[in-house]
Amino acid sequence: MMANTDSRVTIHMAASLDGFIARRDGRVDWLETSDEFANGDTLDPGFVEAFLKTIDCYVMGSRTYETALSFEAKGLGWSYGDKPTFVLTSRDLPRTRDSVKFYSGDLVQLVNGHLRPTFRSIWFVGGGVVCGECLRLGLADEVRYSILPILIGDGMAFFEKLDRDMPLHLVEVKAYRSGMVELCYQVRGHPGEPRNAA
Amino acid sequence: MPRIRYAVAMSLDGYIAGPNGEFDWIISDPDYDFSAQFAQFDTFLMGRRTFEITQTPGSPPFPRGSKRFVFSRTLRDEFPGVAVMREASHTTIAEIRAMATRDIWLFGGGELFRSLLDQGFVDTVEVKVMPLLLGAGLQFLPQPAHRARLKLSTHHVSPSGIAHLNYSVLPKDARLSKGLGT
Repeated sequence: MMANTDSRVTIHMAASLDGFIARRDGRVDWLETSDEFANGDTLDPGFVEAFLKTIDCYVMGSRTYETALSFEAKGLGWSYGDKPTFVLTSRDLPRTRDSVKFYSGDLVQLVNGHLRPTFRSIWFVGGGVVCGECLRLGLADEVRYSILPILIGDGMAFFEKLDRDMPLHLVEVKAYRSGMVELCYQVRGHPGEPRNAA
Repeated sequence: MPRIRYAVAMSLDGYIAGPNGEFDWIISDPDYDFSAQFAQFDTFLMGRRTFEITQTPGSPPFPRGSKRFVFSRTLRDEFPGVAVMREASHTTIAEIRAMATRDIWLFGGGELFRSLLDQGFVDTVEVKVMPLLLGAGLQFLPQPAHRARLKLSTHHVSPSGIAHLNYSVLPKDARLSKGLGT
């Protein structure tokens, strides 16, 4: 099968300024901060909805999936719509909807062999190990990093097991009313995928 | 009153130096007026390791007449223009603030930041986010640290791809500081 040359792998995560995506026990209660940055943009629900439509599939680790299930159990809804959601796990986890697919094989094979030929916009949404692996293997094209106005002091790192420096190219910065800053970077010169010179 | 400002360059993944204290990954920004930045300060606070880096050949000189305070329990030697402090207590910080006429630059590193932040001494956190991931190194805020709420005050981007994020540190909130370190 030919690779979809337009496909793009994005890593998206929200973290504290000191670089943690969750507390040690996986809690993300600090995500709801109450800062007010008067000059910031507001997240218009219509815009968010239109933006989410541009995402074709999600990839996540098993603990991120379990967190998503716990949010749903609390009545907070399922964040990934009916988009295909690939959960990387070798465990036996509950499957609550048809759009969820479990995968326990090789990540390169999943991304290059299966996802890129099928989907245009592929989003990795956590956690640190999965996203670190995605970067380390040279699979990611883009990193979207939302920094929340808080220092949490301890927790699970944004990227784990990254074994080398990785240069990025800053594409976009946006600050929101909540005090959240979203930084969007292109991953520069990673091996593996042939791509057009930027 | 002079403010204590932690102004630091950081990789996107939260490191302020490489595993062996390397700084070679920090981009020097041609549009950045370093002397204007230095002119806002007349006092510099640093830990022992950061001080040793500033003593290596090729490090930029500190402004004439500025005061440097190095926090160390082990440093014995004397250095001109440098006061060695054994601890960062309320008393010592109050004395330093009283002497300063401009702002106070918390020059690093992470451990001194953690200690001063925990005691509520840090007024602002000014981060220059460099466009790279380091994967390992000395942390911006070493763990475990206490939680602190911030308020985004300004942000801008320089053409070299550095994101400048400036925050003020919000006063401690009893409700939030419960259950720390868990």
